[in-house]
Amino acid sequence: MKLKDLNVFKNCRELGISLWQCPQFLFLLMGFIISLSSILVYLIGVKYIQDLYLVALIVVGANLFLLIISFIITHNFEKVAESSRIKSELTGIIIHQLRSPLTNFKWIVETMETGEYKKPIDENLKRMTELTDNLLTITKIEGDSFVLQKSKFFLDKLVLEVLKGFGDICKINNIELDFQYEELEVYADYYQLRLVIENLIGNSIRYTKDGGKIEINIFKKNNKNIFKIKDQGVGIPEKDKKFIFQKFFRSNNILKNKIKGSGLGLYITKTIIEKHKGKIWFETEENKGATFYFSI
Amino acid sequence: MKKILFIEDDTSLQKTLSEFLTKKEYEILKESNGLDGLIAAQKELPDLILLDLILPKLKGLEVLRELKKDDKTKKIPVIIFTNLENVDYVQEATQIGIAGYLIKSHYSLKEIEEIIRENLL
Repeated sequence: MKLKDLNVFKNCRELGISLWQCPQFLFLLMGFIISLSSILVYLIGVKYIQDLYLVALIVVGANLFLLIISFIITHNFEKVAESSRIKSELTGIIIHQLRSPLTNFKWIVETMETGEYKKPIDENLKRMTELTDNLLTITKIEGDSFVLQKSKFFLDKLVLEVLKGFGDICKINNIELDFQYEELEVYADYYQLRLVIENLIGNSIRYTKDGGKIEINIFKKNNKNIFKIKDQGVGIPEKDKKFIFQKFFRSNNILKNKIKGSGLGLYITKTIIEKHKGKIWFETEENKGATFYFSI
Repeated sequence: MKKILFIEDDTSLQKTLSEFLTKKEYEILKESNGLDGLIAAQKELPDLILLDLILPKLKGLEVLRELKKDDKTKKIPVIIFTNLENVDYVQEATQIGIAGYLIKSHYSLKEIEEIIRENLL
């Protein structure tokens, strides 16, 4: 056993569970509680009971009781930790294994002659690929062992880079993209933040009808870097607002308008922003559009 | 005709890409495990290597390390061709020396061919 193996916090992070579910941390905590309670029981005992043997017996009894409780708690949480580790490992493997046949299928469709079925097959493949990619991202970022690879870069350049990739789809759908920016240097995980921006721009395009306009701004306010994206899409109904960042949630009006998506993008976006200790929020009116903001 | 060595254990995926590249007039050498891939690279000295990471017998990164140690093969451009997005793999492969790191599922056949063309010796 090496000295670094005694780092409980690191070990708990590697198990991919929160501190309060981590057996090693709970073991330490219970040890502390037992020691504290021994002292307290002893102090109270000597104050009210004359017989020192009886006090010792009470202390031993209380310790024994707490020891049994702590054993039950840590033992159960060990099971939770193990099943959590197996679950995320298994999910990762399954999704990863799904990627190869999906990729092959995508390539085979690419070589197919244009025909009646090519377009729907292609669209469904894209949805499946998006879903597996999103699930893979979730298993990665949800794990407590996930660490942001932070570096300094310019947010405006990143947005311009992402926008390049959306140029064609905006042209096809006749959507106007307006980007107002100032030079903003940020310290963040470049690839994760890119994913956030891709998700937000992708959503706005997806929900904006032909001929609509999307406005993107980045600016500094109260020492925070703010990203703002405003669309003229379908908006979010009042009753769905509180669920919008939940995993697999899809609003009724989106389903009604037959807009495709996995319902995972905003959950991923929020998780990544929160990992950066940032905030994400939105303003919306049904059928008039939505404005999403994040600050880092 | 440029020679490409494709080391990939998913033979179905390997077949689709190889057939596409053959039509584009590349000579494709196929190997499905790391050890045979390494031997083929040393014997055939291809113009470019597409290398998967999770391989039987010898892992992709070990193959890459051996290729870069050998004077005969160290200048051959190697493109890592995987579905693993782990940053640790990207960093390790970059440190050893690669021409590119492609996530298979993110690219179309056309895009892969363009990248190969850009990286050929």
